Amino acid sequence: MNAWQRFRRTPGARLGLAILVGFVLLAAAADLVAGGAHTLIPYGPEEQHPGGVTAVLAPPSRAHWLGTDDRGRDVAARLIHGTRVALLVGPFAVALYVALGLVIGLGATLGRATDFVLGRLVEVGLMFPTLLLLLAIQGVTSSTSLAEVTLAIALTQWPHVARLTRAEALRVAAAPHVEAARAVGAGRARILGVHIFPLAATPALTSAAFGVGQAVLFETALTFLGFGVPAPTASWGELLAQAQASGLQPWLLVPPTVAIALVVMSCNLVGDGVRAALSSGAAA
Amino acid sequence: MLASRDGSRVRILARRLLLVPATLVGITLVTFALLHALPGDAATVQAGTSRGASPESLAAMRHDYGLDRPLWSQYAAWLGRSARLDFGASLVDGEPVRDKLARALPVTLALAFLATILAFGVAVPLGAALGYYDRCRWARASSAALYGLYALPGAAVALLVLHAGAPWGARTLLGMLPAAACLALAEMVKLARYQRGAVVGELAADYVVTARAKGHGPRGAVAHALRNALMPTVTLLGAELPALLSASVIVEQVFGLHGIGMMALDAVLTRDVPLLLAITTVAAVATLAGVLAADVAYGLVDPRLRGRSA
Repeated sequence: MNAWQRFRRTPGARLGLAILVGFVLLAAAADLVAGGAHTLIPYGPEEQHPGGVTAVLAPPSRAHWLGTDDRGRDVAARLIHGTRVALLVGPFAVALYVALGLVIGLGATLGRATDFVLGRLVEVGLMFPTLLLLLAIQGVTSSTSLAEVTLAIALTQWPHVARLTRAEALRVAAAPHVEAARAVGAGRARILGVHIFPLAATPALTSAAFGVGQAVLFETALTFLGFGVPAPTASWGELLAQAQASGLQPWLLVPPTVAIALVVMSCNLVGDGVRAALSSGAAA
Repeated sequence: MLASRDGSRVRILARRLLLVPATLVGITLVTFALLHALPGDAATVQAGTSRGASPESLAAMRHDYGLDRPLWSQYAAWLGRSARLDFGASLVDGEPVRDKLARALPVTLALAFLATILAFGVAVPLGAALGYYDRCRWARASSAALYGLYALPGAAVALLVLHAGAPWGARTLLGMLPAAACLALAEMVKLARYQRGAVVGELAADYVVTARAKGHGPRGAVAHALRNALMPTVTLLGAELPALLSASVIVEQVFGLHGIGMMALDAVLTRDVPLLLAITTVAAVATLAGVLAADVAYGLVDPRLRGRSA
């Protein structure tokens, strides 16, 4: 069985992938679906009071399928545009911290002293409660932006990848094929790049798919607390914050919750599939 | 062989303990450097409340706070005071940080304690049942439902529970129960999934097959398997404390509980550097304690590792 076949055989993996592809298409086409007049949802995400000043916190209706928020903005339009934030922050944060974690994790094979120093660094990183560190980072950078939210998530999550990679790298470094490569005179860089890296990266790549879902949850939590994506930008966390501020109007609470849950669940399903695909041989 | 395993376990624990101070210094150093990169310092924050502070008075204030000294010497001074549990005074109201912490810590500890009991109390039997009845359709469906629960954003769950009539700003353990349940949910699902996987794995192990071949009923086999399956769950618990503290920020904010999470949120908003430093330190100490406790608990669950010489 090749990797794709193993992925396909995992229950739910294809469903998860399909849902994720759907969200990516929705994010890409957000302006075509909800970008003002003449689109399916005839309001932009930041268009205020399209139906007059009275249309504030209006429940779902024919004009506003998912109602309006406290500034009379169309919730459906904001939900669709919020997909962009989630799908930008999630994958970018994960790509950043997986890269960082891989480099530091592979560093463990460079020698005992390097391993000790990097090991302490990882330990310190693992002990930080993520949200507290995120808040501190957001406090340092007084103005928040999408890039900073992404960076903050990456800075708090790399130790997990580094720890996984370190364990695997040390295991692979002791494998016979590495010894054989050294015996025929392969250089340090070649051994690390060609003989250790591809194998040692497997757990990090498996955790990456799960990581995207977690990153989306972190972004939502940060924005909910008011430290995430800046104000006028439509995001799912902001909708949840609105739900809290408005006395829990269901049309503000349920749509973002369902969207977040769908994305996170799909990421986890795909993660299961990736794990099965990358585990060669007899996989459960 | 028993003795040697015991010995290595003790040695690992001792090494861990030796590294605790190093880890603490690392965590506080990072936080210290991070917070001192803030634009504006304690003096400007203080001056903000009394308008029109002259440059001279600002300089005098900086001298009082020791802010005119190099960063490393400020850190050394802070470390020295913190070791005596003196975290300085809050920049916002001048109240000693220690008193603030003493007020907020019990709330968060109670919340985390309740959440841990709930998560463990539900996850272990649930995970074991799902593992044991792995071939049944309802068990498969329940596993899938757990998957869905795990994906829910914590804020939404907390808001829903609050809306369903849970008390806001509760001060009793009973009143905090709904908040604790929200905090426990994600951990519970995680633990239950691990527990299920562990039970499935253990039930297929040779010793269980042997036990069944010798005529042990299926329930006896589960009793055998559960003990071994409990181990990864116990270890996981210690490592989950940072996640629990993170989730606590949201739950405290939604349920109006004045714990460490709420305090951290306020401290960030008001740039209360001494308070933030103290909170990070306390959180790190709690986490280190959790990891060590998990190590000890691991030894208690596994009789082979139970401290004979220790």
